[in-house]
Amino acid sequence: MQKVLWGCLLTVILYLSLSGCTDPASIPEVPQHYTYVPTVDQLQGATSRTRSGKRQVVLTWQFDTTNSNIRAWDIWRTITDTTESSYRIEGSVLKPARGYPAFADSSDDLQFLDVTGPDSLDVYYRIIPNGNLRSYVGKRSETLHILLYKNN
Amino acid sequence: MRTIILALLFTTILVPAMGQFVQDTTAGQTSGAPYWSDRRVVATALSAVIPGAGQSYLGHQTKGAAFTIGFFGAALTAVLAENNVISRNERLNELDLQYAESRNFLDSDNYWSQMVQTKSIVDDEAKRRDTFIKVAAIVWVANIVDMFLFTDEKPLRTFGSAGSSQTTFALTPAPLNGFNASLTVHF
Repeated sequence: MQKVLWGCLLTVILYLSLSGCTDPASIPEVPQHYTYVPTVDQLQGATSRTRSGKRQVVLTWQFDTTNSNIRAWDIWRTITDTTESSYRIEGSVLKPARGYPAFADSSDDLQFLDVTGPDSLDVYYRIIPNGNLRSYVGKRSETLHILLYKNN
Repeated sequence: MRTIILALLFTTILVPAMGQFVQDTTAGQTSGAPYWSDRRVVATALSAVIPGAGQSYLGHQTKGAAFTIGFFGAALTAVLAENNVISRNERLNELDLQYAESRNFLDSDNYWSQMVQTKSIVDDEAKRRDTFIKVAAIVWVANIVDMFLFTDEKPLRTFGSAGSSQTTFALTPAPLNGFNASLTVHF
């Protein structure tokens, strides 16, 4: 009888000790924010001239078209200065009905090479996606460096 | 896993100890020498509540202190770890809420890295807590087994005039009222 009582006591003590403890809270196995808004993939840039002869930079990129949480992309640009605060928003591109988006930058900042100034110009672009849900600002793209020459 | 540990503890330590105790008791009863005296019953009850107290009660102060310190040290560590688990869980829930409500990638990434870090801490604390609970349980079981098998009764000693120590302190009832205290130091 005593054997049983002691065994029961030990079992109860251990059971209460272990089962009465708090379970660690869990977190999602895969973070949601990486794919909440589709990321900017394969960002590319090319230089060309408009019909009126202005120099322009054409940016193209792709995104996961199966993810519908995308409303637009903001294009940020800086010239020569690469500090974070020097980036300025250059424009915005809405999600196209089909296919991938593109953005043509022919602003005056890119034209002064034709008048005076250095032989080349370093231009940096970043693209930031904006989602529909919660107006979520997604992960910005890698920085694209475009080198503009006076003669092209 | 817990069931296996419980079963192992029960079958490998406690049951043999109980069996030995029953045999000794039976042998004592048949030979007319009661093995299970009142002092041992009280000591066992004390050890069940406060590990080591029974050993100290029977005169094994050092062993009793070791069991007491071992048990309460492990139990205290487990309690502190459990407290850390609770507080880190609260922090984790708070971060989870902020993560769900954040409106840009940078904030989300910041919250996520904090969540991962906090989760790692809370898991470590839970492991530590479980380990020390088991340590405390093992110490408790060892304390009970020790009471049954390895702790003999030392004769009662008058409080304050104990042993061969160089320095003694004694309290004796005064003839009229109160107590007389005497400190004896041998050089």
